[in-house]
Amino acid sequence: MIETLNLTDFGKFKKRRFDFKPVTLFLGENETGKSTLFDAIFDKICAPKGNSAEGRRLKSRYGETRQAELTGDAPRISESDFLNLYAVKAGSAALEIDNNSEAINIVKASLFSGGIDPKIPADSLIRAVKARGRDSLSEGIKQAEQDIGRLKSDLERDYGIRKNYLFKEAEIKQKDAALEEAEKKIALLEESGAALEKAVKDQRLIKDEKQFTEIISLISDLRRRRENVKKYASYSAETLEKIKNLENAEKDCQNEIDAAAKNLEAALKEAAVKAGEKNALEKEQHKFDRVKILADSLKDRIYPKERLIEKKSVLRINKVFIAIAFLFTALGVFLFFNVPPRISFFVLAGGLVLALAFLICAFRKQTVDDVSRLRGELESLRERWRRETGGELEESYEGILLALENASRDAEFALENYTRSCEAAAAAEEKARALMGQKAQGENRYAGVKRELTGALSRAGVSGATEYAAALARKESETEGCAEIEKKVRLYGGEYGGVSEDALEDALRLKIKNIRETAPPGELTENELRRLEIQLSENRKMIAALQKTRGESISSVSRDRGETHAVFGELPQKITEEEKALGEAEARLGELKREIRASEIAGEIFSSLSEDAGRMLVNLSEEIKTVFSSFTSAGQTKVREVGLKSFSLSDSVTVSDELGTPRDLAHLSAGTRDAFFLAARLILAAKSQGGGKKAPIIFDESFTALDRPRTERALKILEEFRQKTGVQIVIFTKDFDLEEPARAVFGDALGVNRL
Amino acid sequence: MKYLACADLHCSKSEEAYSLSVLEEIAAICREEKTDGLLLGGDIFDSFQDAENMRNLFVGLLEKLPENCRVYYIPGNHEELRAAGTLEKFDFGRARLLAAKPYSLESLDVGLELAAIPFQKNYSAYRSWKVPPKGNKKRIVLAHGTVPGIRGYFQEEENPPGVLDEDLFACLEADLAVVGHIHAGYKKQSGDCLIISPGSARVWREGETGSRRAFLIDSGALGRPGEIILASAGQYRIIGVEAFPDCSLGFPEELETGKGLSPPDWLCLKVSGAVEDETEVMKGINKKIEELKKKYRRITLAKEDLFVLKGISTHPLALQFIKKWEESREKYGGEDEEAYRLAKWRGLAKLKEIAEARK
Repeated sequence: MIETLNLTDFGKFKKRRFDFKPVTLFLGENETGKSTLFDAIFDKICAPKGNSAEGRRLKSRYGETRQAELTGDAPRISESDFLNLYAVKAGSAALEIDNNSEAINIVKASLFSGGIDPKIPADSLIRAVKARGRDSLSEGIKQAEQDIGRLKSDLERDYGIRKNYLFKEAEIKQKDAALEEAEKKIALLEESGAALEKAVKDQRLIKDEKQFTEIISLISDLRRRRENVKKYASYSAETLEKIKNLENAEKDCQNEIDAAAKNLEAALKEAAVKAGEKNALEKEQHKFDRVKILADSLKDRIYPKERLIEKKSVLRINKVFIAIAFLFTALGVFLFFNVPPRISFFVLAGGLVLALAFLICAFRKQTVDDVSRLRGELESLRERWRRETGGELEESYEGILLALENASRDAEFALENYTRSCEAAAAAEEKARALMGQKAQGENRYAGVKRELTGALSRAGVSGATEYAAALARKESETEGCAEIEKKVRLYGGEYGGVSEDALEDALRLKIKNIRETAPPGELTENELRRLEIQLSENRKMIAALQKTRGESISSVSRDRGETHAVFGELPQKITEEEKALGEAEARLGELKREIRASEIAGEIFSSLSEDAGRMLVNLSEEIKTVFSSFTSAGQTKVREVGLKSFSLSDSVTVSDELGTPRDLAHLSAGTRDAFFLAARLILAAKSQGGGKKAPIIFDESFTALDRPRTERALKILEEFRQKTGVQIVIFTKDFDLEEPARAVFGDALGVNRL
Repeated sequence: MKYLACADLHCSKSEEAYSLSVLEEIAAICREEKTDGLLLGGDIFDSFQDAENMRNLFVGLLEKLPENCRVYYIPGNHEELRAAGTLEKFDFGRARLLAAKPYSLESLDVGLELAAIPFQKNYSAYRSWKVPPKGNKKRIVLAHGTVPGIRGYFQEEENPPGVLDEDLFACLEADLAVVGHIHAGYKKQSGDCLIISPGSARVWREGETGSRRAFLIDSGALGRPGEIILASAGQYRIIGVEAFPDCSLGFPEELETGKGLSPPDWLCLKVSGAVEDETEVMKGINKKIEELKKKYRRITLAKEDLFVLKGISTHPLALQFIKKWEESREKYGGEDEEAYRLAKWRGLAKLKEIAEARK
């Protein structure tokens, strides 16, 4: 209980002391300091923090130098409990209770078993479940889930890296295999390259040998040429010219001779031919002469013809006429038998006549020539002709005559021919003789030329101008060749230190010997060697390219391997640690979830116990109802029932009216509502005090709304309350009329302070 | 051809009888199965000193193996723990120590070979090992390390081995990989290779629940190794003991009857509950532990979930809470038994917290 309150520089109280009794009444008009006293009591009992709203209000209103000293044993209570429960302000009897306030907890403790409202552990457990703070379970779960998420993500990433690493390792392995392949290829190429190089070198050696051989051959050639030059030293162009001329002359002579010989031959041939013709003709001529003579003689025998023909008469029978005559006869006979008799005779006669005519005509005497003599001459002539000439004459006179004439003419022709032939033969012979002469001349000339030529050739030792020219040309070419070869040989000799040709030859022969001992035989053609060199070149290019690629691959593989090893070297360890951490996080999560579930179950169990404890509120309601009823019933009206559903009061209270109908507080009159809150305050304040120090209940102008009877009833209830609980009561009012009923109710327990 | 594979026996002087009894059982299994070989995947000894001090006993037990049973032994990280030398200087009798790094190849049989990878701190250079192709043979890899993706007992260790990426087995063309170090047994198919871990051959540390095993490998069926439980290794078992507010204890039936338990077991009594007086509870617990020690190899106690709540046995709200909790078993027990049990302690703990705050 508060015994005294000393104020210094507290509002209008510079230094003032106030005494308190179990019931203390402060009477004063407005602005006399009632609120200041209220604030001072509040300041001491609640000690609001400087940065709280009330703290700042007090500081602002009264300053920092204010002082209030309390004596007595008033407990420290919270601002909200003081303002909401223990202090009743004028016009605001409504009670706003913080359900978790200490006061209410004390009330609950006094109501429930063991003094602990099961809702407290239930709420605490549920709060722990729902708490979101740093050390809360949910935060732990969130953290664990985050960790799990992060670890899973890390694992996924690292397994992905591993997969990539293995893939890259497979690639590196392929590259290694490719490198190995390349190495093998390079080795093979180098092997084949070495073989090619040897082959090319051998070929070059062979070529060198060839060259050396050529040089040696050149040296030999030089020597030979020099011999030739020496040999043909005396040869000159003039001599050649001379020999040529001689040869030309010889040729001309020869040509002449040949021509002459040819002509002569032709002439002789012709002469021979002519002679032959002549002879032939001559032989024939005798024959022709004989024939002519014979032909002439014979011709004379028979010519003229009339001489040999005699005339004679002959009977000629025309057989045709005879046939016709016969025919007419037959016809007449035929007709005779076939025509009417009257005419048959005529017909027959006609026929016979005709036949006779023809018959007569058939026989005719004719004077003919008697050619028997002629025939006999001719026959004799033919015989003779046959015998002497062997030819046959025609049967007819004309034919014979013609043949004889022809024979005579032929003989004349033959004679002409013969004559001509003789002339021709003579001419040919003459010609031949002339040609013979020419030829002989030519031969003489030829012999002379030939002698001269032979002499020149013999002196030159050649067989002809060509040979001389060739020799001369050879001499020139040999001389030229010598110069060239000497130049080459000097050049080669220079490579050997300017040695002599003999020395050079010896040196080269030695080299050839060495080459033949080392290089295998078998020279390739130039094309083949070229191909070989191209192969070697390509081989080297391929090796270079492969080595370049290999170098790049080695760098790439080395880099890749370094990268992957750098990544993968520690990766399995990292994965294992992450899995371990994940396991731990999952275990932790499991534990936390189990904790939460355990807390939820425990909380639910306590909540169900709390529901059981709901009946406690019924008890409380009864107590409030009792006080409330004493405020309102005055013994006449029905006791109002109070229904508390929870400790919040503001929205969970129903009060039944006179008719017993439950109505919310808000629907009650202000006076009734104030009476309820006053009753609730008293009960709750009593119950919340617990043992030990008790806080006073302060009424600040709380009775202004009550009429006198209600005020007296309220005061009586307060006195009952005070006596029952020992709670100190402080009343501030400007109603000086309250003193009297207060003194009547409280008696000596009342202390009055006038402000 | 048959091979028995095991690892992580951790023979130690401190648990000599126990660890050697498991080794003896291993030898007996080899006799029974007439195995052609025994593959030891590292950590056969708990430390270098243990190898030095116990190798004769080890050699003696190996003599009990079938005559033609060859033993292949790779050192694990524990054999090099605080090593004062190298294992190669010791004679391990019939056991052929395969300590060559990074690996060595052994012919097991016609058409079957062993690639032995002893403990190393880092296996990341495996791609440069230039392992010859296996050709027509089958290849078993014996290694010691952690394999990513396999979760086991992640306890911080001194001198831990490197991590064996699965790709290492692919590069070695392994048909079967037997991996020691992770004490939890597992099997994982990685491409053509089956990765198996026998797990620890005995219970070495707290929390290694489950049977201890070895794998029986048939060379004709490498992809289907059989599992053999090592009974003499026992198991690590967590036995829940409830402490009631009046300090009485509720022991589970298995502790009373011994059903499902075996002498080599390591029992961890996990006491939980809200009690008036912890010392009173501990009296009961210790008495029980003394009884159990006569029957079982090792007994430890965990009492993180035991807490004292004064007045708990009479606190109305606590009693109401416990009663309500028990009545809610059907409602909550099915979804998450552990959360349901934990709810009791959390509720009582909260009550304790509130009660103490009010004092």
